Amino acid sequence: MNKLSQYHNYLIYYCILFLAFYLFRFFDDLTITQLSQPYFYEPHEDPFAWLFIASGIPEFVVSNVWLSLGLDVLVPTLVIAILWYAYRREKPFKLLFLHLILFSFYLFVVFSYPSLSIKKFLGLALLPLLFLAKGEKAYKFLFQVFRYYVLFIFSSSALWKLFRGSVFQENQFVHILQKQHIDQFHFFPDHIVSIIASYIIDKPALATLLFLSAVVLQLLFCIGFFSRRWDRFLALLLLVFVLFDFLFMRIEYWEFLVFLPLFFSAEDGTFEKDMLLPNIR
Amino acid sequence: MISYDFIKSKFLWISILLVYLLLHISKLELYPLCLFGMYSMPLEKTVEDYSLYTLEVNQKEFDYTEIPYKKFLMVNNTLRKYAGIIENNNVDPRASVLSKTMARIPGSFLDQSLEQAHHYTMPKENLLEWLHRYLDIPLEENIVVKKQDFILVTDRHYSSIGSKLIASE
Repeated sequence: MNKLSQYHNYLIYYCILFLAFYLFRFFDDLTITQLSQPYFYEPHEDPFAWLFIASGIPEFVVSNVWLSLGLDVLVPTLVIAILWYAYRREKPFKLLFLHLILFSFYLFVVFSYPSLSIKKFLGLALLPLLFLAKGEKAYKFLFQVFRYYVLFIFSSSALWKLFRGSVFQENQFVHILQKQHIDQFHFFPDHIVSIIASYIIDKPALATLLFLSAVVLQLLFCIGFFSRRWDRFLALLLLVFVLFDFLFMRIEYWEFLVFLPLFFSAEDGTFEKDMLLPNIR
Repeated sequence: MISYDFIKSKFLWISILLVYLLLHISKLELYPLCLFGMYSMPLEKTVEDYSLYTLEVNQKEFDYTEIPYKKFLMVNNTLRKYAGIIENNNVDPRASVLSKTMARIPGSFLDQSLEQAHHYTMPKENLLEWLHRYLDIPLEENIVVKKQDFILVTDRHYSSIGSKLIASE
């Protein structure tokens, strides 16, 4: 496999995943048009979001059905166009740049709604930066930057738990599950997540073991800062984390799967041994 | 296009790392520099009391399983935060964004109270109007929003200690 195809294969993987998740958003009634105007806006903890909401932009967008619809249609259309160019082994820089700006804007509008999180979309929002790399050298550099970014996400998450002491708190996971699933137990008692969570809450020793395992799993990503030898294993851990985050917490981070190819470069950082993304053509 | 000369600059990455460090200290986020580590604060005790927000349409409890889960989350969180606003429980929609920002920064590293977003824009529409619109419930149908309070009795068993009307037509 040559180096150029690695770029295009990753771009194709990104586009397909983006469109799949966009389709899920549609079926979940989460496009801006389907969300319609929120009852109020929630700026979360982000001063950018505060300014954005204070500017009145999200209100202007969601109050105009044609603008909302236009955004909802334009975002996936751009990705379809990028996918088409990627199949033709071309680099659609202008489209990628437009997609980067437009999707960030889109996310900021959605982020202003209460209950919607922006974090799980970070991969989909930021990876276009990688594909905007001019030349192989810049691409390889950014590829490693993104790999380190994913390592940082998991390591930082584990370190917060260590430094703040939740790891050492007795029955922490039992309390987390109770807090997380209060509404879930009442409104969706038969859902698989309710059944699993109830079972774990009844067994505090198992809950503690699972919580410690989750922290160790996140902490293992620190290895990646020092060696690429364990990257395939870290990719597996990423998959395991995303799956169990849903099964235990009903928190959906499926969008993080877009990061998987970052753990499939060779040990020296080159792409010749790439296995996840076979040459499509 | 992003050139290698641009991204190899140490100043770029040092600046980003410094900003990220400040964000970690202040527990703020600055897109795309988000913080990860949900539930990193120790939860010392079991949930002793909680409230549920129920919807009744024509005196019948609304079945959330009939709508997508994410839509349920939107409705449930909106009701929870609406109740928070009207009860003024940790919520002050009138406070200015700037004062909230400044209050966050000094010494907020381990402050659990700042974990919760607690400022919202003032709603411009009636809650029930929004529910009719968002859940596609015809205007002639009657919606009632109730808050049901529960308290821990023994072990994991909770008992309802009554309900309170939040909004009705």
